[in-house]
Amino acid sequence: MSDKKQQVILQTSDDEQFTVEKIVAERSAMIKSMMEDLGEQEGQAIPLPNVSSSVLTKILEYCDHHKNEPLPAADSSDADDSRRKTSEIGEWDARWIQVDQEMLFEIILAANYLDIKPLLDVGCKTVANMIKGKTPEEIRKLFNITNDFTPEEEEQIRKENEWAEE
Amino acid sequence: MEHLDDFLVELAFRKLPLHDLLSCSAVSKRFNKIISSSTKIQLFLHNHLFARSDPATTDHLERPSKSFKDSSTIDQLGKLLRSEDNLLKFKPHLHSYELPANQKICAIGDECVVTSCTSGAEIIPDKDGLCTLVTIWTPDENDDGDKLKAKPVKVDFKPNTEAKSRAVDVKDDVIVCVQELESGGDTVFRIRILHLFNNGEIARPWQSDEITRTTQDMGLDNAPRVIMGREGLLVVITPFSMKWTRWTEGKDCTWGVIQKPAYLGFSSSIRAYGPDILGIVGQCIPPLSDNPFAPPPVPKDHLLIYHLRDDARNTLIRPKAILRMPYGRNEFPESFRAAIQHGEPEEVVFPGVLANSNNGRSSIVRINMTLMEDPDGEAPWPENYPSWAIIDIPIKTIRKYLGLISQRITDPESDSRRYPTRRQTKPSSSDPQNQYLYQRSKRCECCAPVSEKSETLGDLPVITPSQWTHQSLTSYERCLANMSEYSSIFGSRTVSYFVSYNDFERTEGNALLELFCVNFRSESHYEPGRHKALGGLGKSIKLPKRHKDTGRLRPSLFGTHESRDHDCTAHTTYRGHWKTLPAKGFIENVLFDGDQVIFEYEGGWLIVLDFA
Repeated sequence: MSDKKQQVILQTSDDEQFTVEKIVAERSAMIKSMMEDLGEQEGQAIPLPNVSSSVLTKILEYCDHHKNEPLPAADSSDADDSRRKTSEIGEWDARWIQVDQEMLFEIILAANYLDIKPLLDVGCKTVANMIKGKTPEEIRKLFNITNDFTPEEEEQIRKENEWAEE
Repeated sequence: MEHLDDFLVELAFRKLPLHDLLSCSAVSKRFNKIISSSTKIQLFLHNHLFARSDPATTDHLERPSKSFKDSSTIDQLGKLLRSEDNLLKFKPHLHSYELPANQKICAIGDECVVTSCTSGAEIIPDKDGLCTLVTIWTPDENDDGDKLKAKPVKVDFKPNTEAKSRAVDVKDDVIVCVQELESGGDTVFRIRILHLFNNGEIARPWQSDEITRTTQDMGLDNAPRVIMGREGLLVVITPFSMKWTRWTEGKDCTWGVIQKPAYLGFSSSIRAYGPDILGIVGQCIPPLSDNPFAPPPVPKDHLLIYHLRDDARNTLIRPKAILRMPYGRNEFPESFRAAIQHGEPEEVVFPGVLANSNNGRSSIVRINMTLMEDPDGEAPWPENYPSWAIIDIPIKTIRKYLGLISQRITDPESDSRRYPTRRQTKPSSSDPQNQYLYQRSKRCECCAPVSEKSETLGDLPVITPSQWTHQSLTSYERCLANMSEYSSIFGSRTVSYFVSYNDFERTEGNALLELFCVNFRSESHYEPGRHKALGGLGKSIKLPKRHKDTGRLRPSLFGTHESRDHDCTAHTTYRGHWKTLPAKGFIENVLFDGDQVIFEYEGGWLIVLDFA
């Protein structure tokens, strides 16, 4: 491999182009496989029709910070496992993901689309942390969800879940 | 949230602990449906309901063992539900096998038994210089009889023969082994994590798992004993120190130090429960009184509970809760006292031992205590067996004491009725002081009152028996003298087994057996035969069809009956007269792994009741 930093161009849904280091873009398994498919065609932009420029800017920040970490093997459930089991979010990641709800969900959607497993994991953990310790009513308020249960259904669920309260 | 696809919401839910997950199920119909239709989440919830294991979140569920077959999540859930049904209906398959002499069971798994040679036996290398570490026995599929197929697991070094330095967990495919090394005139010990099933029949460290470390590196200088818990928990003990780590972290794992209190004797018994709880039972000597004329303090058994937190690994772990064990018949619950004849010693008790944890999978802490001295000489018949007090404390209770579950003070009386209405609950019952008085008021008048003043051990507060016994189940049995040596893998989870020998209908070399099954779970949330999705609105789980299940023993053969004890209504006891069990002399050991009860007879016979 040459010492010259290889670059790749990404094009967002709002037609903005980003030139990034290959090693950064490769954090996304989806972009990595697209690059492999495209081969060494210099200067060709990779279209990302599901990602807006504001979200991509944010995600590239994440990818840049983590660019030197080993990539999770594509089919290794074990590597996946060890990461999932550490329930804490890294210090940098936690600061980085302090965004509003809208952006958080956009990041999760993009992480899923771009296939960046560790990022998807951080996003889901953040959502889980927001839920932790809250009552159903507080969760509804947090995510602006309407309660569509009848009082009878609510009572039934409460009874069904009593076993865990013992 | 509405922008996220259901599967992404599920991914987030899989990172939630039990209570938060159930809170989500009550948020909206969409959330409810995601939870009740996710097989992974249902497997997680059922593991908790049946107390098979208590993973922190759905993502912490253990992978099924790679050893024999890969099973999908729905298969695992199906197996869990079906064996729970069979346990409650008492419908096992009956198998019996013969093991070669000089083999000791060290683990039982799905369709296999792992043995090693007995403690102290000389291990002789084969022609390739390999030593047999353990042997895995599986039923021979080409044989309908009682043949077992042996698969020796070999290593290329000479393992330390001390039995306790080897721990096997079939479900994680792992052997933790202590290797003895010569190093410049010194003997050092190296802890190795080996995998049972890779590389054919030779166990090798697996990729990142090689935490080969000499005991000198760890500041230990004696043959260590190893204990395994869940999620890679490894506790290493020498007479001088206790350390813990997680082998899943590989070579770079860091070690935490556990305080071994000076007032705790070396004969203490140590077990791991789940991924983060360590229990030690031992005789502790209370501090001397200031009064020079006071009688010297009597050593009493204490259960020391440690909470091993990953985020506090660099600090010395001290006991987080200390439960004093009952001392004297007076301190046992009334129902238990009624069972003991007067004239039995008023001042119990020999050091208790912890039994009943299958590599940290048990959901109860079981403490066995002898009530009187061993009878002289051999104890060939049950009437000569020493009597034991068997105390079972649910891990849930322990977690409450650790503050890991919000503590709800309940009146022991109303607690025994499952779901008391507000009116039934006495207004004063939420006051802990009153609860305490209630306990004391139940003491019988014929016995001398026990000192109820608050106790401490060193500078730590002690929870006295009167404060915790109502949360536990105490029973009284006559058992083999070597009960303390019951293997580390006896019993687990909500349904707990123990055997006793009944004297009548005895013939030469043949004793009638009674098996008690104690169910710690309330039944109202579980209907055998109907597999309800948890957290949902009564939706059923669809399980894949499988071949017809025949050849199970009928429960009528056991004379099963249900008994409800007023002092602990939450528990149901099933009792069976196991006439159908072929008796092959004396039972040496009883093992239970959640799906199977295995009776190990002297002379190498195994009888397996398989509920899976």
